This record gives sequence, structure tokens and C-alpha cells, in this order.
Amino acid sequence: MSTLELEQQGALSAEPELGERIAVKPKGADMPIYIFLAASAILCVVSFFVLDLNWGKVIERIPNLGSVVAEMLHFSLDKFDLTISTLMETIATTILAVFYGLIIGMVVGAFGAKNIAPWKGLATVIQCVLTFVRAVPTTVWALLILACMGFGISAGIAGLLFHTIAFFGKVFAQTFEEVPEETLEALRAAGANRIQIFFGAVLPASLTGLIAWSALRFEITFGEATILGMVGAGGVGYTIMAAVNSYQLGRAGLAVVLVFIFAYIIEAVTTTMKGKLKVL
Amino acid sequence: MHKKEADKIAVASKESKRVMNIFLVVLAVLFIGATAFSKFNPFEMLATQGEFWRFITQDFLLPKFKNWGTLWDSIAETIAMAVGSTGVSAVIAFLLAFLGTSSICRLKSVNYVVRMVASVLRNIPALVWAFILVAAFGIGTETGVIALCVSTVGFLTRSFIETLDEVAGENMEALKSTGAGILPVISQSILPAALPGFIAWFLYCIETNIRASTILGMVGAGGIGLLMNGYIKQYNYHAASTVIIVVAVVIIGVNILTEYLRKITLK
Repeated sequence: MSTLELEQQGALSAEPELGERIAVKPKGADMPIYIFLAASAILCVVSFFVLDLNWGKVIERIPNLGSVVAEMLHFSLDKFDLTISTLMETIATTILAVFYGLIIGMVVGAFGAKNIAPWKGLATVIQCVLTFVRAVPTTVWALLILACMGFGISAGIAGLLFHTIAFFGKVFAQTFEEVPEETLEALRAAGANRIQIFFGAVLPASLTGLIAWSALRFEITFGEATILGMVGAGGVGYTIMAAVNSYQLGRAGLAVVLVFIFAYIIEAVTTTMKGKLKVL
Repeated sequence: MHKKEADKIAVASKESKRVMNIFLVVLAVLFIGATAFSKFNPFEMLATQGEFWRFITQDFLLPKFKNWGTLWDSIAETIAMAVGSTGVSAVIAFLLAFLGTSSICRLKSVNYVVRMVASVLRNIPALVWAFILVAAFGIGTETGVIALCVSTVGFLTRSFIETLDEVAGENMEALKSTGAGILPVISQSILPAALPGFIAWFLYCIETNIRASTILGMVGAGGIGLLMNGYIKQYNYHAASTVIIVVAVVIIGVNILTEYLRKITLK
């Protein structure tokens, strides 16, 4: 119950007193925000009533958590080469899923952008399909692929491709749609065909965005590739799962730390790149 | 003056060209390395895609389903898990963010510890947390809620710190010079300015947590994933497809709702 009280207190402290402020905005302009905060606080409390969690059990088992964490931090180098090679496999899967997703997504995006698609109905259909693909979690796509392709690195890549294609397809369609109509008009008037317009105007306009989006997607896909192993595809997720299931917690702990280090490096690189691209 | 401006433009475009080239080279190297390591051949996949379509059209579609009652209960549980854990995480992250930003909390060591903890929490995927927590707490919805909270606190703390840093800058200086104490500065200046940013991140987390909570069940941490995984494991694909379509509809619905909320709270 203590978390509920915490939530309520938080919602209250998040609302500064209106009257004492010098009004910079017309009064009542912030109303939707306060209604929103109150509504989410209520929804959150209702959620916990719906869930009806057994906190007694959790508190009782907190010592368990301590011993699990302690054992995991007691790193074991047992089968370390296997951990490293599965991590490499996950990284390779991530790279290939992002690479092929980027290329296929670019084509899909070109057909999904309303201003350059050869047929407007097609653009709408493509965007609906992309929305559906993104709404089904990656792990589910991966499970379906596993069911018909069997295990292996190709199945992992194919499972990840659903979301990377949908992501890049949406991002590219949006970027392409931002190209001003006048530019396209001018090129058409000059006699350029569709393919020339695409490579001459549309693609160059989206290049800086492309780098930032790929970096972001790489970060997300690495997380997804890691958890794919836990539902049966290969990679470092499988190592973590197998190690925990056979009570080799030290080995699992080391694998988790390696995943963290790699994710941390990607994040650091992405952040620096974002800063640099802003300067350009 | 004219010449200087022209120079500037040339340098910028050269620079962006250089960045682009570096990006392409890095992409090519990564691609070749990964292909050599995994021996992945996309054409092989194209050759076997017939099997995939046969699977989708015959084993998977059309959906057939009986246990609607169980399905609705699981959906309600999944949504409650996502909303509840995002709410609790937002409150915790809200408090941590003040300790994590150097513009409010002057202790550099506290900033550092908060940022480091947040980084560990968010860079390990939620499902991995769930798996570790299942080992300690056993299977159940409680574990799922805690796992979601762990990764969401990590993500929101960083995002809230970023928002605070953006907002704090000049406002702080101006108000401090008038002699305002730290609490009035926070409640009168920083909070109102940061609130829209906080809400945007909160809504983003609701979206990602709805997705995450649908798969937590696969490691035994409650929600609709349990049901879905069960049907797939039993090769009952017609039932699985029903659950998957319902999940997709719920996620799309939540995205439409959060999009609407973003519009009304952030204008």
C-alpha cells in the first residue's frame, strides 16, 4: 500500500500552487495538464486495485533477491568463450537487422510517402500495415518466425526485421513527406522522372536524419535481440536464460554485465553523435 | 563579410559530407563484419519465404477462439500492469531526477551515483530484469510489475534529468539573483516549465510499457504474454493469432489515446 500513498503524494507535489505565481499565461491555460495529472494518479491507483498484488509475498522474498544478486555478482568464467560468442552473435544479428531494415525501410518509405508514392491509395495501405506490424511486439514476430523457420541466426534476424522495417518505413515516409512540394514541382517541370526526383532531392534532404535514426534504432534493436534469446532464438539472451535455469548465476551475471557494457557504449556513442549532428 | 559567409557555408557542407562518408564507411564495415561472422544470406531467406506464407495463411489465419473471458481478464491485467508501474516509476524518477541534475543538487557525487544507477537500470532490457526477478520472487504478476518499474525508473530518471537541465539554465540564475530560495525556485519556475516535458516522457513510457507488459508473461511475469506463449507452445496457432490481433488492437488504441493526450497537454 505504501506505493499508492507515494503515488498520491507525488501527484500532489507535482502541482505548484496556482494563485501565488505571476501569471505568464492566461489563467486556466494549464488546466488540461492538471486534469491529466489527477486522472493519471487516479488511474494508477485503480490499476493497483485491479491487479490486487500480494505484497506480503514480495516482502517475504526480498532476502531471496539479495542472495540472487549476490550470487550473480560472484562472476564465474565458466564457459566464458560461449558467452562471448553468443554476445557476438547478438551483435551481428543487431547489425544485420538494422542494415537490411534500413534498406528495405527506405524503399517501403518511398512508396508510403503520400507526396512521392506512385499511387496515393498504396501509401495509405502501406502506412496501415506498418502501424499493425509495429503494434505486435518483436518477440511475438520472432516466435512466429521460429515456428516456421526453425532456430538459428537467420530466424532472429527475420524476427527483428519486422520492427526495423516498420520503423524505418515510417521514419522515411515522414521525412520524405517533409520535402517541400515546390521542390518536387520544380524538378518535375525540369523533366525529372520519379527515380531522379527520389535520388536528386528526396534522399539528400533526409540524410542527417538517417544517421540519428539508425543510431537510435541500433540501440533499441540490441535490446530486442538480447531478449529474443530468452524466447528461444539464439544469442546472449539464451545464455542468460540457460545459465539461470541451471543455477549458474555467476555465469548469468557476467553475461548480463557484458550486455550492459555494450548497451552503455552504444548509448554513449549515440549521445555524442546527437550532439555533433545538432552542430551541423 | 560576403566572403566570410560563403566560406562558412562551404565548410558546413564539407563537414556534413565528411560525416556522411564516415557513416557509410562504418555501416559498410559493420555489415561486412556481421555477415562474415554470421554467414547470413538474405537470398536463402527469400528462397524459404514460401514456407512462411503457407504458415501464415493456413496455420495462423483465420482466428478461432473460445476463452474470451480469460482473454479480457488478461488484457485488463496487462494494461493495469503498464499503467500502475509507469505511475509509480514516474514518481520515483521525479524525485531521483532532482538529485541527479547538477543545477539543483550541488553534490556532484550524488549526481553521479543517481545517473549511474539509472544507466544500469535502463540499459538492461525489461525482460532480462523480469527473468532475474523471477529467480528471486518466483512467477507472478508482482514480479512483472517490479520488472517494469525497474527499467522505467531507469529510463524516466535520465529523461527527466535531461528535461530539467534544459529548463533550469537561465531561469535559475535570474530567480536566485532576486534572492529566492531553492524551493520557491523549483515550484515557481522549474516545475511549470518542465511539466510538459515530463508528461511527454510519461506518455512515451506508457506506450513502451504496454508493449513490454504483453511479453513479460513469456518468462512467467503475468499479463497476456502468458496466454499467448501458452497457445504458441501448444501449436494452437488459430487461438494465438486471435490473442496477437487483440494485443495489436489494444496497442494501437493506446497509441491513439496517448497521441490525443499529447495534443491537449502540450499545446
